Amino acid sequence: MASTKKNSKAVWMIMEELLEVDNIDEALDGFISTLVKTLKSEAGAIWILNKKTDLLHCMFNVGPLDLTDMIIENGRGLEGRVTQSASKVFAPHVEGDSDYELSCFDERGFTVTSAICVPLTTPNDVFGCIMVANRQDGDLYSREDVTLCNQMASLVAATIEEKGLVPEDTGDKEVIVSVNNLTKEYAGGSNIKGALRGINLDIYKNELLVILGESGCGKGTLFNLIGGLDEPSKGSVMVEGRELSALSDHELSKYRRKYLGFVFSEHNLMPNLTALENIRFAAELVDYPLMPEEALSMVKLSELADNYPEQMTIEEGQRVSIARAIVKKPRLILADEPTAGLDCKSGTELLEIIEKVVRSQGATVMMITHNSEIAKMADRVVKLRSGRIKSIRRNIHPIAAKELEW
Amino acid sequence: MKVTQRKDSFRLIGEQKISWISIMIIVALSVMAYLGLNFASRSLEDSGNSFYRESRFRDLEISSTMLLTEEDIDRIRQCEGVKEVEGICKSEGFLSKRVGGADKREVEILSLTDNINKNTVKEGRLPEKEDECAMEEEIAGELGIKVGDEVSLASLEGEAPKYLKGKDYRVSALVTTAEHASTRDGSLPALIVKREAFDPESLGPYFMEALVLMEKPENISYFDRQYLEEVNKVTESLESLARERERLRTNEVKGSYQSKIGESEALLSTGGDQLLEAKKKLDQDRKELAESEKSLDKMKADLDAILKQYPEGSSIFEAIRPRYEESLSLYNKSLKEQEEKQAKYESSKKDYDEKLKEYYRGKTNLEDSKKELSEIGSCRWLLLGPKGNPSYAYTYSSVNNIRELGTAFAIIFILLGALVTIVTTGRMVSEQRKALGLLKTLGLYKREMLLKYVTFSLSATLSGILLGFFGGTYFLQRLLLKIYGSFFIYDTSGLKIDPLLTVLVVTGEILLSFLTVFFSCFGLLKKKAEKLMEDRLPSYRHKRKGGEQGSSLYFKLIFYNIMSALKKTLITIISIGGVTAVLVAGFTMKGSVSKTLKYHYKDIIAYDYQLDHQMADDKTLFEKIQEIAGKDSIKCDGFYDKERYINVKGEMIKAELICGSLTKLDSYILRIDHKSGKEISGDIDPSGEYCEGIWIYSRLAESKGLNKGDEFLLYDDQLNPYAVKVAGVFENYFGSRLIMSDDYYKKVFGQAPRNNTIFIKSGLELEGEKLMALLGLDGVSQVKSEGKSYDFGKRSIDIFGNIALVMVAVAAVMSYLILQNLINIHMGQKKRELTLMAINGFYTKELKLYGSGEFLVNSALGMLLGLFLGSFLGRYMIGLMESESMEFVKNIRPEAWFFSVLIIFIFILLALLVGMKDIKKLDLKSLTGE
Repeated sequence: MASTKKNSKAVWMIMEELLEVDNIDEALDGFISTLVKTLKSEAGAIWILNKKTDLLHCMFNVGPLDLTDMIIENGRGLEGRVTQSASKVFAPHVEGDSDYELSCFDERGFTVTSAICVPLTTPNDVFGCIMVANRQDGDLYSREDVTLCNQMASLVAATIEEKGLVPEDTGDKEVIVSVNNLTKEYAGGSNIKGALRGINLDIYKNELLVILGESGCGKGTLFNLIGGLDEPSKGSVMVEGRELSALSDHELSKYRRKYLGFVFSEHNLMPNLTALENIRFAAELVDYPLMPEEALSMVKLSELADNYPEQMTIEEGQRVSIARAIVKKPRLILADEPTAGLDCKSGTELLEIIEKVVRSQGATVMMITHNSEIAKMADRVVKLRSGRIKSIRRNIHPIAAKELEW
Repeated sequence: MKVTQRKDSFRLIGEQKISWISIMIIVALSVMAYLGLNFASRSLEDSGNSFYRESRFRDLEISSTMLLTEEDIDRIRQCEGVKEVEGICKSEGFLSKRVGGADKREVEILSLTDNINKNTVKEGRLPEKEDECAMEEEIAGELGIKVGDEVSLASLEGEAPKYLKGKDYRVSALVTTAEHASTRDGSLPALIVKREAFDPESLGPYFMEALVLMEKPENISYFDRQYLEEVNKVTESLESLARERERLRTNEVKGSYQSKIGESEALLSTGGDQLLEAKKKLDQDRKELAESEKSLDKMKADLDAILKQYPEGSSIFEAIRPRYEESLSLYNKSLKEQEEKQAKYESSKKDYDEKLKEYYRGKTNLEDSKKELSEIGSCRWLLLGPKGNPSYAYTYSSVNNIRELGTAFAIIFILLGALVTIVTTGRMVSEQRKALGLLKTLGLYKREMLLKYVTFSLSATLSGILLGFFGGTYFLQRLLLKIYGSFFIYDTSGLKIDPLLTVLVVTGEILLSFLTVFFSCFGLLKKKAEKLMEDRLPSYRHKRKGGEQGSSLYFKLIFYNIMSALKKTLITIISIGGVTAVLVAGFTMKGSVSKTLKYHYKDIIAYDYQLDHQMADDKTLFEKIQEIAGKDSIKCDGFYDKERYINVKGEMIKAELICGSLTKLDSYILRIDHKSGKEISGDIDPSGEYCEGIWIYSRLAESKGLNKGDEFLLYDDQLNPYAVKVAGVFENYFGSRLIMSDDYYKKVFGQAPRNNTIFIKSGLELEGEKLMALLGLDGVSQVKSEGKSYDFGKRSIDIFGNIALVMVAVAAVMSYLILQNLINIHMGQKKRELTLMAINGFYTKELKLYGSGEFLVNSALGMLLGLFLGSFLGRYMIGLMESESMEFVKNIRPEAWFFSVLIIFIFILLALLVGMKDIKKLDLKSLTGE
């Protein structure tokens, strides 16, 4: 009786969200999170069908895995079968259930023990499917849970039908950094702020990835581990087939030197060098850098070339900092709260530069922030909570930085 | 101070413990050096004072060229400022054991005093009989003499020493004498006998010296300038008495000569008259003799003619026979009378000749006496203050040298400590700049903010003072006293603590600590809060054009960093310069000591032995020396060598005068021109110019400002002054040698010098037996080995080398601490930049080079500065060690530079090694938000 009441409350909540929200990406992200939370599940995902290509795209996922890069053929695997057949699969006890076919979770190494996969259907069409796996308390899903999933799937399908949602065909994206089961423990246990507990994430070439989370959720730790600034307790960060923790100090320096660009919450410029010299200082580290003047021009600070860091505003300093990062033409720019301390206007101006770097220069940026508004401009948004990935979503239609407000 | 502020201050100490410990140790070392050296100096002064007070050391010593009379002594006693006077008799002789000891030593024989220059009995009792003596422990030890032994005192000729009654004595005591407080004063050992041992017949009622005790404040230090001034006052008051007594004594002695000459002249005159009479009578007698001889001859001729004309037996003869025989008898009688007269005449002639000889002898003696009278000159008194005593002079210079060295070193150490405090506090304040701005915003007063840094610095300083006080008092002082103790006959082990000096040091250090904190913080604290919270603009902004390309910024940045932190750069350079300078100075001192010894004894002094003699002709000695030495190739030449007084600009100085053929002397004593460093040959200076005059030792020229062509007074043995002209200055490091040619000596003194010494160049060490054989040659008084002189010189100046080593050790410890502290500070300041660079992919070696580059550049500049300053400092320190008869080589010592740079370089590498460890531990996460 109590669960029925809870389920109803969740349905109403989702309904309100779906009706009110302008941004369907955000609404669906909220939906899957609510569903996984209501059903106390370990993981969940929404798969959307591109009818033109007949491919299923994982648009949102919650849990330890990053499935957002996955695209499967319609009809293939559990999710494909459910979408193609428009009929649900309820496998309260997967082991020995002949009806259960391996899902994408299983493919990625997540052992599914109990699962519900329901199609997103309206009377007129099928849009994809929703899957939830494994209750956190170890119980099995019930029929009541299936009902809830069905109800919610109907709502989502109706919304998609109304708002329209067609996943883009992104083709095969190149993974430049792959994070697998990344764990960082600090003395005092895994509950210490900043600890990471089994993060799986891929970073694709030419994407703007935003890591979102409250203070102490572990986003900085993730930044440090990907940046080769810290060593994981478990798991790995793979870059071009090599594990970072296996690299020597020299190789790690080389990785940072050739592969990465950094932008910090404070500009951290060399105090005795001018703006242009700070950029040149970084440019000298690589074989084929941008012209320092060009990098400075990209951040619109050519007129301040001879200014020292202390003669610049915080925003100007950050711009130089971005120019310093891009001058090396790195494969990945890691930005740590670059807008911290800036007002909305200055912040958005700075984000416009980052946006431009990604959209026009083909750079890849992983930006960590606690500002959820910034997430709207990202290609993908990873939400962290307590050292785990709470959700990963793909923004089908990221908004322009200049439209952000906070 | 409020509780929270106190906590904050203590936490600061905990956070900055390396800097705190550095300041503490640096302060400790400087306090230790200052107090240790000063306390040691004062302890030496105290023990010296005790010794001189207990022995009632004479303040003045008066001697006269014509001895001193009882009346002289009485008149001195009545002089203003004089408290007590005692006359003493002196002689010199050779001491040997009467039985079982062939070895002999020249000693100074002194009459026993009652109340001045009292002897301290170490064993036995003071002499009570004429044939008893007491001697110094050291000489007794050397000759194996014990109390109760029979000893012999003799002159070179084997007679009793001049003025002494006898040769044989029994040793009644072993003593220490006030004359010889130091075992290193180079003077003759003393032997004490009763006044009655001196022979009144030969000496008369005279004394050789008067010892004077003056009225002076009871607790005045013998090593205080005030004491010497008091002595000078009494000396001045005695000067007029001296002139008066000199005149009187001169008149007395000359009068005595005059009256003797008068008497002799009268006697000669009477004798002359008598001789004249005798001569007349002799002449008469001779005339008469001649006449009677003539008459006899005639008689004989007549008789012979008679016989010829009338042969015997003829009738005529027979007729005149009676007449003939009568005439013959008369002739024979007359002949006999003639012979008697002749004998008488001969006797009178002999007497006359004797008296004539006597007369001429008397006349010669009279001429000689007249000549002596004309040459006797005037009586002169010599008034010697305490510095005339070699032991006192040595103690005085030791006390002052240590004190001045201590002060000089300590000042540098303290300055370095202050610099380190400024750097450390400045860095802390700079690091906490924004926090200070915040505190200011919160309303804290400047003094409240300052208090934290004052607490930091003051606590380190006070701890350092405490440590330094104990180290200085109980370690360094003890060490120095142990080193110096062996040079004195009295106990120097008593540790001294001077409360006033300690309080001054504590106050000074506290004040300095406060001032350094104030200096490093106050400028910043004066700034407005918002300014403090802003980042600082680099002070050095290089000019560049926007598109300028050039060499790598990586290296340029090192230069920019140096220029941007000029104050820090300067302090770093000065600090490293300071420690390098101290090391250079220490090594220069040490090197100078070794070099001086080697240079003087191996290069300048070319002879191996010096044989003193009293032979009028030394040619026979040369043969004997060659015979004994057993070497045909042995080279030896005779010279005149004697101690003489000189008066330069009013100051009486004792110096060694060597005269002879300068061309020959060049083979034994090398004269290097002090200015050009080139060799002087004979009377020809390095520029080829002939120089007539006296060649003087460099220390005299330096200390008295004498130059070529200047004049000063040189005294003869009777203390008659003669003006001499400086021919040139030659390098001489030990002793006080003056050199002049025979010709110039003759020109100055009117007579040629009589050789009394032989320089021997053997090239081999003569064995004991041969040395004894040389010593046993007739007229030889002593044989001095230059090897022994070298050992003696080495022992005397090694102490300076040891002090230099102690200072080098202290400076080295300090250097390392300062360098480590500077590097830690530097690395602390560069940490953020290095982290940023590491994040951006700079390799570890690049980070290390960047981290160390700036410091290495500053270090190199600091070392250059240190080499420059250190050479001057070393020269200054060496100047402090020098005394009137001891000079050190003051050239720049390349090995001092080398070792100093090597040590600093090794320390920099060590300190960098420690400091650079942090580069590997850089927390790269520190710049990210998590």
